[in-house]
Amino acid sequence: MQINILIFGQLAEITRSREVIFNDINDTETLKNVLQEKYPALSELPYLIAVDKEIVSANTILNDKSIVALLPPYAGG
Amino acid sequence: MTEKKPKNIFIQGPIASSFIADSIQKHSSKTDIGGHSIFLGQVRADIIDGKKVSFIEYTSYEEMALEKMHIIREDVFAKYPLTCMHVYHSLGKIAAGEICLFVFTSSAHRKAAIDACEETVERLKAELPIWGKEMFEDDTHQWKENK
Repeated sequence: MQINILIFGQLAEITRSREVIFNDINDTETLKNVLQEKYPALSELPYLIAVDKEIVSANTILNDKSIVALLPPYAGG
Repeated sequence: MTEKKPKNIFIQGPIASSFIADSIQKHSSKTDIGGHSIFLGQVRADIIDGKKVSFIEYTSYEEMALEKMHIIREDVFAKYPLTCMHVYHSLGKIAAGEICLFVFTSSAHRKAAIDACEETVERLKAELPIWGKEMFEDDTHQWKENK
């Protein structure tokens, strides 16, 4: 299963891309671990995970249609 | 049942004072309005560690922001007797001194317009996925964070 992850703000400076694709990620806990491994610098920044445009805090099951996004602290206005 | 598509709030570049003036003018036909409240956000030339902010580059997760703004709009309309509400936020590069946010609420009486405007501003700053890269005069940058 392929999951596309949208990356925003300062987080995209670490991933060097606004979108990354991972395979075999079944839930958001696994995603966090994979991100941590691939981009150690991410652990130093605060961010939230959104699945289908809703912020999730508990572990959330992903499917191949899930839209996942990494959101750093907001700064609108 | 058809779901209403959320209104777009984003404008590329700064919000011109002429746009704000036109927006006010358009309400002259709505004679049940007795009070307008307007909030304008302006980019501030903050000095951070001796370096001055020259502009902010705004980006957003637009689809999510529009959905969240739609919810804020519905909540605020449910809470206050408003005639109308307009919200615009800039994307892209906005120089210090330029307007990046325009919130405009109207009601029969002032209290609802003022309170609804304040609540909308507070909520959108906390709930909309929008980011601002503060660019300094020496081309370095830092990321803005709402307090």
